[in-house]
Amino acid sequence: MSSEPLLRVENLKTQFFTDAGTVRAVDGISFEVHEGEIVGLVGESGAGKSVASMSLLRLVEHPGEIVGGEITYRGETIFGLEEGPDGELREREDMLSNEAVRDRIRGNEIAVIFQDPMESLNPVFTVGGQLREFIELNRDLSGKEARAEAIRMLREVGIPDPEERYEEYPHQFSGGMRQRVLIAMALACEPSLIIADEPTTALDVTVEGQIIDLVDDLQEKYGTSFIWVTHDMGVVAEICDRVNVMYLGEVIEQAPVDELFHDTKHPYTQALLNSMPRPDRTVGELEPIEGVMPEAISPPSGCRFHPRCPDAREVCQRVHPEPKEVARADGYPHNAACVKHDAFDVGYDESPPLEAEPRLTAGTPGGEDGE
Amino acid sequence: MGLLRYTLYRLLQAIPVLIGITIITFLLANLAPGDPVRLMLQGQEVDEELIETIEQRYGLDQPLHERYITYMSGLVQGDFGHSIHRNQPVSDLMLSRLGPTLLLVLSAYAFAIATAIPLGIFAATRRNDPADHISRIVALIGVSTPSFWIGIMLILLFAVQLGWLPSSGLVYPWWGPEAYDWIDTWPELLYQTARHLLLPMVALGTLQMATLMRVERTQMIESLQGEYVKLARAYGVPERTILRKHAFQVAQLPIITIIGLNLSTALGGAVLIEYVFNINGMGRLFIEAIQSLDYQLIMGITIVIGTMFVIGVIITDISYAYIDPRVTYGEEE
Amino acid sequence: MAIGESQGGGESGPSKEVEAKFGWRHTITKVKDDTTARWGLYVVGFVLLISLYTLIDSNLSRLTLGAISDFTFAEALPIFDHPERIPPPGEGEGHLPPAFHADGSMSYPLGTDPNGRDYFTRIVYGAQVSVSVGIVSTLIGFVGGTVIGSVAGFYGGKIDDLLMRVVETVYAIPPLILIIVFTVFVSGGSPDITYAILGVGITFIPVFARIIRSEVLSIREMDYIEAARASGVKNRNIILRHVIPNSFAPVLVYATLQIGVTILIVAGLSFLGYGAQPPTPDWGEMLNVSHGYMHSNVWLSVWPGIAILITIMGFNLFGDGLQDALDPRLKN
Repeated sequence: MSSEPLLRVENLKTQFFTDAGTVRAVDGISFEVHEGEIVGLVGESGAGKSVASMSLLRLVEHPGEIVGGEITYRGETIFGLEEGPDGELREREDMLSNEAVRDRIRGNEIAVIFQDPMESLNPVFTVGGQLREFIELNRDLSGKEARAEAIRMLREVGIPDPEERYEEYPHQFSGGMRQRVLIAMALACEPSLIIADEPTTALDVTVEGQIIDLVDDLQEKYGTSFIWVTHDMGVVAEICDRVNVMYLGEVIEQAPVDELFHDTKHPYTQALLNSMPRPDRTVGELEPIEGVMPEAISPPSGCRFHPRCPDAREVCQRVHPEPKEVARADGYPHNAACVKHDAFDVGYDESPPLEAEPRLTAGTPGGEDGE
Repeated sequence: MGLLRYTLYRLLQAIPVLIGITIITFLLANLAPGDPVRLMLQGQEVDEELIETIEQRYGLDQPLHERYITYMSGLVQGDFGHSIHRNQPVSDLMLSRLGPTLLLVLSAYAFAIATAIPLGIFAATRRNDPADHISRIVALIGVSTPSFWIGIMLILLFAVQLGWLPSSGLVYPWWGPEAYDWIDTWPELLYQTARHLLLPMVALGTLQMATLMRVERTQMIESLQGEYVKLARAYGVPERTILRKHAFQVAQLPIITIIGLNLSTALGGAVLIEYVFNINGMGRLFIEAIQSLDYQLIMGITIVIGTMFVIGVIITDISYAYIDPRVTYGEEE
Repeated sequence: MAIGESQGGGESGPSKEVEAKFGWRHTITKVKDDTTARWGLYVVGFVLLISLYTLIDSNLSRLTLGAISDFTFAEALPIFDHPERIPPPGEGEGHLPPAFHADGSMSYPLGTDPNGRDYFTRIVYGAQVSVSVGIVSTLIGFVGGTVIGSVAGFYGGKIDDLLMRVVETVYAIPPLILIIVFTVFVSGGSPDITYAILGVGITFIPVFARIIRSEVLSIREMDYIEAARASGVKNRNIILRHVIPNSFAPVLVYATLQIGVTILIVAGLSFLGYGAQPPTPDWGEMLNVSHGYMHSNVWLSVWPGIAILITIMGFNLFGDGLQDALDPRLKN
């Protein structure tokens, strides 16, 4: 690892306390984001990607709550607990206050691009007005300067006639154009990190391509880091530098993008890749992941993926693997949470296989359905 | 289309409704068993010749459609006909009664809006707290209680038992202090108006308040769950600004429509409230007209009240179009 | 084994849910789970029970309708202990105060009205009038509205245009005013409760028709209607078998809430003297009579209002709960 990371997440746990029980939406994930890189957060819907990314801003909605772990941004503690004198966990003294997170982190340090461009803009205010409000709030600019900056950013993200469109309302913009507005909004606040939460899922494929190219260009130009939340391995291959694969609230594999694609270490990642359409394969060769992801309220014992895993053995039902370094590439570790690797040494090779069982009982064709 | 053209368009659209109102009231009043004059006399023994004379004089011997045409041609010139019972033009009878009703209905609305919106927002932000439950129960009682009974209870408590406020009548500020020999100055006049208005205003406004509060609460809850609120939070907008600006603006749109449509209930309620509080407005005039079966007057009042509703709805529609940028000024219909 | 179970559950769970969301059983379960709806059901059930009881017990109707009876409703209830029967005050002997008053008697828990009739008995009996008025007139509006609305929505065109014009017009006149005009003129100057029920029912036909119409309009576009049409099912049968049953649920919610509105309007009507006529023990009519005694007997004006409030609140609670059950979007 080169320098001190921009953002470090360690053992983050976010839970939802519902009537039906506690949902462990994010269950002890760790990852880092360095200056100027795009880090992917990949997984099926319900894997906990969005909750994880919102936890970084301490914006988990009721009844959810961050219950453990540490989030450090540029040496400042966004979230951190310590054990008090009475043995109870309490917030650390250096943890930023709600006001500090709101005023100093949200928007001006870490900005967000949401999934649904149709709903994310307020229908009763002009696009320009909304841009200007966020710019004024997060940068030391006067109203006039903020307006000029907003128009400049609209031009930057490829919106034609930005001066006129500044005065228009969201309903006068197409989906792709609105997503460009949201990107302009994020960049205009000059953050060091942008969380893009499935920003292209709601868009047409052609528009999706344009948006990804745009982000790629702008990322290079501004040097902003990104956390790119998606369920689409194709997008990951195109844009990300390093990838974290999530399954049921856990990161089960993390590696630089080329390494992940060419030397996949976790069966789930492999399954995701196999289910992805690729130009070199026919549709018939696509392999859907068997079964559906269980609910985070009652995760399976042992390795959470074992009921759907083609390589599952008896030991997988018992041993819960934490991600461990199984290889190294480009100075980064390649971590995987699968006991079949030697680093775990829990007797995988001797354990009897659970083969074919999932296939016999699997009722749902096509595991990975889009959101 | 500009706002002005939209206004004109909405006014034109209202014409069939206004004609419809005249047809309905005209049919109801004229298709009744027994002719209007006999009905009006309510079984009193009168000379047949006299009835015929009256009928001839007021054109009541003409066939129905001709009478309607005669009535309508008068109406477009602002002539509501002549009250046989009171021997006065209907428009004269109504003109002096319009002010009190407008004062009552508008103040009830002011009361309802001023209380319902803050309470609705309060309840929405404290969803499922005791405060929310209490406000919901209050709203439920509000929509379930007859306004005239609230009026009676207010009179019993504040006028009969405590003697704090007057139980009947109104003081009209537009008459000026010189019209009342017991009032000398303008401030005193306004004070007396407020004192007289307070109870009927609350009685009539409670239902509106309860309805609006419920809508405000659900709208705010829905609006606060909007993606745009999430976005504003993610950009560090303070919660107070989100509540007052981002969520509030969106939530108000349905409220405006409800206010317009509820005018119908408010105008109907005014009949009862004016009766309970002895206010000489359109509602009381309506009851007087009904009691004497003064069918010309009844028709006039029904048409005027229907028109008030239609105008109210147009005003709210226009303000909606003004506030909501998504409205494309009615080109869709 | 665990794998099979979890996957079996995953498979059948969602599809069952989708199916149940539109079923009656789902609605009933939801209503049972919903506190609001449950309380509404209790109140409505209580009021209905009282109405049924007073309908069956002929003694009661005798003693409420003018004639002074030799016993009261309270005396008929086993929960009260009445060693000595207190003779009723004679007609025109003025009113007895409620029982908690020094001059009151437990035989007359709420006192008597100016005619010496037991007020509690009359209040109890009033439930029957209010409930039947509410239900019958809502039924008139419901049935009429369903017929007109489904025809207009299904065929569209001129019928639909005409209906919408009528609806807009009827909307423009406050219901209370329209109903008074209807009642007074159609009855030829002698209004009573029958005309009031009829008036309320007819006035609300267009309102129901409008709701049914919009439901039908959305259902009309559904695939299964297309399929039925394509396979040559007659329009009448499509309306009866597919359109009406599927547009029923939202209208049912509206009807429940409408019963409350109807009772409210008829109370106002009777209060002004254009609904129930004396000696019918209707709550609105009782408020009309007691209005003249506001200064001498305050309580006479209190009880009927509370009865109206509780009854309407019951229907509103139930309707709200039903709405939550059918449209879970705004549920807490």
